[in-house]
Amino acid sequence: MLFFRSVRRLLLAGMALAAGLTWTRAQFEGPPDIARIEAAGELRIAMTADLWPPFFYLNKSGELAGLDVDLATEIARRLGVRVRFVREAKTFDEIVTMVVERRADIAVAYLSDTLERARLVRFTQPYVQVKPAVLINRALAGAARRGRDHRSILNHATARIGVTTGTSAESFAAADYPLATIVSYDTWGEITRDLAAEKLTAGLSDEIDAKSWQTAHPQEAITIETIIREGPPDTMGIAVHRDDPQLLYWLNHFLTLKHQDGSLRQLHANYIENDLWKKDLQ
Amino acid sequence: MRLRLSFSGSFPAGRQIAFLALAGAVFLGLTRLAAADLEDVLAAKQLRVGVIASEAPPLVQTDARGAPSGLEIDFITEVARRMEVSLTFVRTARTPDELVAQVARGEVDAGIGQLTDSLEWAKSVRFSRPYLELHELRLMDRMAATRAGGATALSADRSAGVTAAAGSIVLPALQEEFGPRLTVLPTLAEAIDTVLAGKAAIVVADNVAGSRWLQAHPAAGLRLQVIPRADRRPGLVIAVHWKADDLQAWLNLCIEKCLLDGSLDALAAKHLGENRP
Repeated sequence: MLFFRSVRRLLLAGMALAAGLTWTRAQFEGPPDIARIEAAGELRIAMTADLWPPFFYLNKSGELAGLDVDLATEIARRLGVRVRFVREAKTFDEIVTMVVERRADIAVAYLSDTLERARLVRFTQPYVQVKPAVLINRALAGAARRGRDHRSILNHATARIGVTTGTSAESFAAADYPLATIVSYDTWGEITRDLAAEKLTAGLSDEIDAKSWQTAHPQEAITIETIIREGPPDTMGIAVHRDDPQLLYWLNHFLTLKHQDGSLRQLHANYIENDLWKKDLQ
Repeated sequence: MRLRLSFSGSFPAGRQIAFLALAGAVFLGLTRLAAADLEDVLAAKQLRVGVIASEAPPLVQTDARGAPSGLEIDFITEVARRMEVSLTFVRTARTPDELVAQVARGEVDAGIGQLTDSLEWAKSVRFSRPYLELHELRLMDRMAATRAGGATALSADRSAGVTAAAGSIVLPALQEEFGPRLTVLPTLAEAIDTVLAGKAAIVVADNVAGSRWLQAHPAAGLRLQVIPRADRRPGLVIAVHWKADDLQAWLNLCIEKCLLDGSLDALAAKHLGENRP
C-alpha cells in the first residue's frame, strides 16, 4: 500500500512539474505573430485586384510598383522575409476581410483607417493622409449653384453622387450629403465616365484620384470642376490582425523611425508631390 | 475528481498545507521567472533589471565596490523609487543582443544599458520611449576624406571601410546604412586604431563615447576629422517583455515626468558634463 502511495505521489509531482514546465515554456516563447511570419519566410500583403496608382500600379516592365509597394517591400526586408502581394480583393472592405481571415498578414493598400474597419482589424499610425475631393458636373450643378457652396448644392434630393464601393468616400457621402442619392460604382473610371455623361451631379474621392484624372483629361476641365474639400483628411494606415499585437507594435515603430529619418517624407515626395512616377507607368 | 480525492487521502492535513504552500511558492517562482507585467512587479515589490555586463562609462560601469553605477543605473534607481519597489540587478548579459534575449525570455522585468529601439530587437521585446538622446560622431581619416572629396563623399565611397565598437548604441543604424562595409571591433579604442593604421576610413561612435576618447587623446584630432551627425539620434531606452503592456506604459509616463521635472536633465549634467545633449 505504501509503495502505491509513493508511486502516486511521484506521479502527481511529475504531472505538476510537466504542467509547470509546459506553462513556463509557453511564456518564454517569443511573440507568435512575428514567429509565424519568420517561419513562413514571407509577408503576404493584401491588395485589391484593381490598381490604384500611385499606391500600386504596373510599371513599364509589368512589375507592381508604387508607394505601397515600396513600403511593403521595405517592411518585409526589415522583417527578414520576402514579400508577396495578394491582389485578390474586389473592394477595399474585402482587403480588411482578407486580413481578418488570415488570407494575408497585413494590408498596405491605400486603405483608409475608418472607424467601421477598425471594428474588425487594428490599424497602425497613418502613413499617408489625403484631402477628400469632389468632382462636380458644372452643367448639372450650375442651375442650383447661385453662389452656394458645393456642400449645400450636393446635399439636395435631386443630386446624384457617385462613390466607389468599399471606399471611405462611401461613408463620407452618406454622412455629408444625407439628402442626395448616393450611387455606388465598382471603379473610379466608371464614375468619371458617368459624370462626363451628365448621369451624375458629382463624384467623391480624394485629391490624388482627382488630380490624376484632371491630368489625364485636361479637356474635361470645362465641364467638370474639381474641388479639394477643406476639413479633416482621409488617413491611410496598415491593417493588422487583432491577434497580432507585437507585429502591430513593430509596424508602428517602423513608421515612427521612417518619420524621424525623413524616408517617409521622401516616399511622399516620390509618389504624391510630383508626377515623375507617371513616366514609369505601363 | 478521483485524482483530487486520492491526493487528499495521501497526506495528513498539516503536510497537505505544507505541500500546497510549496506548490504555490514554486508556481509564483515560475510566474516571476516568466513574463512579468506591472501588476506582477508591484505584487513582488521588486524590479529585476538586466544590465549589460560590459563597461560603457559614464552610462554603465562598475564602481569600487563592484556594483553597477553610471547614468543609466542612477536613472533606473530613480524609476524603482517612483515605482516604490526594490531593485535587483542581473548583470550577466555580455552583449545588447544577450540582454534583449534575457528580457524576451522573462528572466528579468526590464533591461537597460546601451539599448536603443532597433527594429531587429523590436521583433521580440517592447521599448520605452527614449529617456536620453545621444547623437552619432563620425571620426574620419582626414587624408582619406580629402582624397575622396570630402566627408560626405567618403561616407558614400563603397571602398571606404567603416568601424565601430561592439555593443555601441549606434550599431543598429550603421548595420542598416553600411551593411558589409561595417567592421565591428571589441572596443572603441581598437576601432579608432584601425582607422589610424589606415585599415579603415571611418569610425562611428555615440557623442559621449567619442568625445571622451578624443578628450583623452587630443593629438589624434590631427589625424581625425570629427563630424557630428545631429540628424542621427539614437535614444537610450528600457526594454520590457513583449506582453508587458502596462509596464511599458508606466515607464513611458515615468520618463515623461522625469523629463518634465528636470530629474533626467540633472542626471545628464552629473554624468555627462559638457557632453550632455
